[in-house]
Amino acid sequence: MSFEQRLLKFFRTLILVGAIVTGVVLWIVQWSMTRPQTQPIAFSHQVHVGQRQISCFYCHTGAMKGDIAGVIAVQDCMQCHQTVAADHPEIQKISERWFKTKQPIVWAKVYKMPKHVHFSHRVHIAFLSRNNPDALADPGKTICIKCHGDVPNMKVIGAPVSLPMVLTGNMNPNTGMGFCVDCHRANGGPMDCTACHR
Amino acid sequence: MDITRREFLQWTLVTGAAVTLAGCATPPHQALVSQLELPEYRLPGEARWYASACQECASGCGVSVRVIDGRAKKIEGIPEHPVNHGKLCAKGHSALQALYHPERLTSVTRRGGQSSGWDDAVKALGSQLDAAAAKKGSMLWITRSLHGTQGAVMAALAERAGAKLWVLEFPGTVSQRAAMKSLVGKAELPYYPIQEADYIVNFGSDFLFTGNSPVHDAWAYGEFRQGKKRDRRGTLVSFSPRMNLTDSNSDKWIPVRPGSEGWVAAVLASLVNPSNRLSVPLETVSKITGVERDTFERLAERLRRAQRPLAIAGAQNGAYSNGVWNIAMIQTLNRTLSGKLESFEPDLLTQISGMKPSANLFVSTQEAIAGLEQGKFETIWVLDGNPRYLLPKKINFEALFSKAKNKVVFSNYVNETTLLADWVLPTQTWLESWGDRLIRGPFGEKSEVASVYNLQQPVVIGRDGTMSVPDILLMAAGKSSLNGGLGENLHAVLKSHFSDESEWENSLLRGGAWEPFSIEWEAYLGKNTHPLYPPPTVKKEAKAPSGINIWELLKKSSVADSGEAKFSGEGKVLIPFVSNLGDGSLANRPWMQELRDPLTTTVWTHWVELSYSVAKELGVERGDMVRLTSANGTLTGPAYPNIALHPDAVAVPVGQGHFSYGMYANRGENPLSILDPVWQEGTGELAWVGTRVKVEKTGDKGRLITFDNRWDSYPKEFMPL
Amino acid sequence: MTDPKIEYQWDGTQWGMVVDVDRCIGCEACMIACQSENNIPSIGEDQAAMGRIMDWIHLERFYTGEYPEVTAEFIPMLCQQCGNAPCESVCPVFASVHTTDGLNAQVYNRCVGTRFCANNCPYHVRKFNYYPPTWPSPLEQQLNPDVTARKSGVMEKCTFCVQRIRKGEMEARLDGEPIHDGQIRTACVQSCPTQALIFGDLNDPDSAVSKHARSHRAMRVLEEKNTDAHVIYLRAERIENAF
Repeated sequence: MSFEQRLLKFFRTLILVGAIVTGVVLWIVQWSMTRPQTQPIAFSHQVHVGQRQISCFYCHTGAMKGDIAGVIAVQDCMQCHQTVAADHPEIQKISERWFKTKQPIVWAKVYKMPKHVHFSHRVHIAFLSRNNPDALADPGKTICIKCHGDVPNMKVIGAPVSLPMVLTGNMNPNTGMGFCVDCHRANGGPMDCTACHR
Repeated sequence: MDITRREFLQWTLVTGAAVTLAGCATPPHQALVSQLELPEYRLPGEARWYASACQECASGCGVSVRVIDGRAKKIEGIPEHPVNHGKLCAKGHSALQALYHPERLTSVTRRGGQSSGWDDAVKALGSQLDAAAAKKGSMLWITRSLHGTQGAVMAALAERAGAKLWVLEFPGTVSQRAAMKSLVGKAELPYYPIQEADYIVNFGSDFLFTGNSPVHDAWAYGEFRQGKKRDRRGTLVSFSPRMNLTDSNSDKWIPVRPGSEGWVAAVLASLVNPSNRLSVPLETVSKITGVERDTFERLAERLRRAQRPLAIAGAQNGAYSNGVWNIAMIQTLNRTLSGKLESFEPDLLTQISGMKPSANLFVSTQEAIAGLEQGKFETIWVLDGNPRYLLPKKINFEALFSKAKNKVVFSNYVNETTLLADWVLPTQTWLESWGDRLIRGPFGEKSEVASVYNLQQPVVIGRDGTMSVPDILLMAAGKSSLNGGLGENLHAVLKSHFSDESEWENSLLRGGAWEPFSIEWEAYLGKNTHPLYPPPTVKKEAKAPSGINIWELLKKSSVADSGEAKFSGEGKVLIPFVSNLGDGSLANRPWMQELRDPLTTTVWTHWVELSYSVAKELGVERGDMVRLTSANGTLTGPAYPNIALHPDAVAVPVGQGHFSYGMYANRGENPLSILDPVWQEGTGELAWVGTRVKVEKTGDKGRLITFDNRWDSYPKEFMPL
Repeated sequence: MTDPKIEYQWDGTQWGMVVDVDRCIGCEACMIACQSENNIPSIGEDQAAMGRIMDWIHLERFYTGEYPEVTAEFIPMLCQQCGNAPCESVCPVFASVHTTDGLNAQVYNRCVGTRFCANNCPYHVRKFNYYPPTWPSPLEQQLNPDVTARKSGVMEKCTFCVQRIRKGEMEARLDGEPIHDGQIRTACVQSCPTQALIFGDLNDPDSAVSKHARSHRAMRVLEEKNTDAHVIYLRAERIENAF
């Protein structure tokens, strides 16, 4: 083979090998992202919602009346946990923040919308409870689980995300655009782009 | 290089595969936060609206600020507010950029660049106050206009320290006040019931764009033209050397020679009411003004037939050496037309601790500069504004300022004046601090609101390390022997104005109080007669008989020796005009830099306006660089031939030409720097339009960014013109 | 040669705006109100020098006459939300679509940046993000969370403050109250000091917009292009002889 041909062959192999290596590395990274995310404090929804039957709205105060559900302040966690299970190591992480370091808790967000989506919790909860206003007293049973999955039984929030969902850039369990559009179409919700994309 | 088909396909597949696999990117991270404390009623991400008072200009518009999670997002008007009726101007909206500016000062800085703490700063200020009180007249405070309780605090403290207060503004309201003082005895600003008028003659006052109350006047203008309750559309006629925004909205614009606006008004006053004698022949006035005799006669006839005619004066007519006379003549015409002269006062100081500033607290610009030259002032505090930028280079503010032993500058950002200071104190914007405004009306659709009290409250927590000017002053007073009853901070002082808690709460919710006023306020306003500016030396208060001998009038009042404007130098009259950048302080806001100048559609650059005839004479096209030379400097800039500019004038916008005001502002050239120090008669202020400049082409091409050529190809019949 | 005028009929709410050119003074409060509300970036001097000014509403200034007989007019120009939009039919990815309530919607996440829509718009109101917009910290704290902040490669234009419309409709529906005229206003309409801009439902004969749209001064810009613009202009009433 001439020099030119060998050079070309070298480059071809290099690109092919590089592509395969890059692809493998990326797949490994994305596989790791399908594992449930680690949170700064090992909060268990199964304990609080499944066992203790605390209403979703007690902590996620914005969900019923606003666009963003949010999560309660550290002060409100301390209302119970000053005494309840105060010596549990995870609870002590919260007490430390409240009494000593005065730091807010930055959770790893699981149910995320891309920035170009504008979602309003209020409207959806109003819709889901329209025929059954009593459900609002215990939303964990019927309302919130429609999109957020079986939260009362989740030890770690965020059921494992499937690889195909990750590959399509969608980290939300159950909340890809297809999921939204299907429900809108079935229930007469707005099919207009500007309902969510503004 | 020869390549076979197979090899080509292999290449394509391999690179395609590489690109596809590499394209699988990971989505962005977002955060969910448990705040430390959150009140129950606060929903995450929900907007809360706080009423406040805009302090961007003297108008005192009531605003409502949308705040989400402690961040100010949008400023809007309060719908029931009698001044702005729910509307807001561009400047008001841009205050958000002042708040979140990347170049905000956040720590006290001393000369040499080292940081210091507020404790040291306040102690130093306190001792400077004591030193000044021991030697009265050795302290100078430089500021822009004073209003409300924060102004009263400033004035009270200055009085106790024996300091002199120099109010330096561009273009300033002193000439209007002086004219009103000579005519009605009160140094207040003229009020024009625009919404009630049917025929308005404007003399180049840019009341729709800048001026005493632009949002209110614009609202009134809307009613003047197409108000539902009117029987016919109002007519607006303008006389000025340069068509500004307000003139561009008139039904007819007539160019006049710069400085001769008062003459036009005087002639019209004499023609409308023949018992007003003008002992100068009409032909002479025609020559002085450049307006034809026929125009005067026809307009006077039309004014006689009008039912509610009005003449409007403003800062633009007051910017000449004969500015006070100009405005006095225009207001004389106004009184001839409407039989009365109304005034309003946007800059009332609310009283604190029974203190009333005395008349000799204030110094005019001329007096201040004379004092600086004599080295009279040991301590100079610049509380607001950028005097080094505003004053012409000839005055050499750097040298004068440096004569003082202690130089303290209060500012939100680094600017040209802070570079000279010993102490630079980082201050807050009106969105982060307390304050108020008291405006004596009339306002409202039928001018039924006599006074408006605006309460300004902080809508967000102040930037780290900053403090508001009145709070700094009160703290400094506390560290000196001068406090005694002034108050701990402005919040406490404001609250003490209110007789009970519920009134305070109501005012916070509404943004102030206007109708109905509580009993306290009525009594209070009756007592409130604070002079704000040095009352101009008018030897004789002109009475207003039904027949006014105008020539005699101007001889008797020492307001002006003659009606002629004085210009120094030779060449064309340089008109520095108010642009979107205001007096230059808005130049560091990218929104205002990128907001097109309404008439020329220019962004980001300065420019030099020439009349079409002058441009043709010089062979200058749009974008060619021209040089303006005065006795005290040169300015180069890209030319903009202006279709509506008097051939005796050239015009340059004010605002650019900073060299130390940040990445957005450091560009262009400043026309104020090349002005000759021409003084205004009767006020001791600078005549901003008093310089003549030589105009010449440099031969280069400059950068002029305009956007007025996109609709040229469309026939005008298809436009709603 | 003009096409026969076609009258378009739309059912339900049709958002529209009336611009009274006689009231407009050219103060540009609308421009900054829009910029503040809709996260419109400042592009800087160099980009502006290339002619790429970024605004969703701007003023076209027209001079008439010659010195010294000069008059001027300001015409606010914004997306006309055309019923027969020239921009919608040319987008290859359906990023420019029409809603049932009369808006021409721009879906940023679909846009791939062919710029064919801007090419086709006869009003020149579509603006393209050639470079990623930047907000030097902490200017980004001012951004409105209700509006998507666009990236580079995306076309944008006036949306009639659709975020306010949708929010207003949602709140009205949840509160069980009908939307009354003037309740939902765009940022520019809210800020205009002379009240030259009016916003509302063109299909509601009692709304302020409808009443003004029936004025003898009413017209649409470039009517002959047959775009069924939802922005109606009221001609200026310059008089021939001021005195």
